[in-house]
Amino acid sequence: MQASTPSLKNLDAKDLYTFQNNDQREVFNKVIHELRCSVCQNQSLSDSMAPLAVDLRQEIYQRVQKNYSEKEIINFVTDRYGDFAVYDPPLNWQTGVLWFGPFILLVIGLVVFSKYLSHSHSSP
Amino acid sequence: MKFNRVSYLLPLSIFLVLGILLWKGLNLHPHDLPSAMLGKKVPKFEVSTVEDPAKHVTESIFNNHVSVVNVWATWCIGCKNEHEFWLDLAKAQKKLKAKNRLQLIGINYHDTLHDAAHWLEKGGDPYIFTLFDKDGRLGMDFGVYGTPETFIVDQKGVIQYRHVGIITEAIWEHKLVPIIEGIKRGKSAY
Repeated sequence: MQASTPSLKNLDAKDLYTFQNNDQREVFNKVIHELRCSVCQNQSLSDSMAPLAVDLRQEIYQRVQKNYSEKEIINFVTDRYGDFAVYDPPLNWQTGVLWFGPFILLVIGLVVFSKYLSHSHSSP
Repeated sequence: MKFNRVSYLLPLSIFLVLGILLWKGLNLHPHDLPSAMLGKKVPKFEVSTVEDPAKHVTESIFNNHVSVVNVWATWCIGCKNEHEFWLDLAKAQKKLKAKNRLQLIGINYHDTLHDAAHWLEKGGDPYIFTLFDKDGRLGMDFGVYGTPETFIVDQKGVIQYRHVGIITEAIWEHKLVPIIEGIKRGKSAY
């Protein structure tokens, strides 16, 4: 029995919650890893012991128990804490630069590079 | 030659663009997140107040008044520093005509009723009442990160502005008063 008790050192937030079934456990684990703790910004909700993260985990747990979907739960959090709370930002006009900026830079680079090439070819 | 001009201008323009980006970066405050609640109605709630635990209030308190909502806790040191400011503001408000007064509402966040009531008795109570948010659930609906935080809510119950951190006389005068004056004239702040 002793061996099956998780030691305090290895205890993860998700071990503190019990679920009716594996689906619920999966949704819970997925959501708390996808959401960022807004207080300690480099931690996910699953890592963080900040009071707000603890509250949000509890709220997410309750919603999982009521069989809310992953999307509904994430919307619940982003409605209150904004897109910043998700590690996978949605595509909208504010995040467009992040998504398309690199491709635009790549195109500019290619244009400059091809100009450079054609120039060095044409000049003796 | 045409190419030569480009080859001179390209490094310069890269330098300028990078310079502008980095310069902007110096003034960014990545911890000051914009509230996702701006422009939204205050959440629906029904909670008791610290001053009178038997009294239940709902979001209807925000109707027809411009409100300033201060989220505080007895364990919050910043709130202690800020408290004097709220007392002064409440005193100044009492001198105004009733229809011009701001509604000062407290939200006591993650606290015990005993500690919160004691704090207001001992330190003075600037709020018309303080919503008792024992487990932070109401705060979550307001998108609260921590204490102190202050929200400005317009006459229709729409959240117009949020300030994170202590409010001082200077911040109040230069930042919040213009916003409140704008709201009174029907101008939105977000």
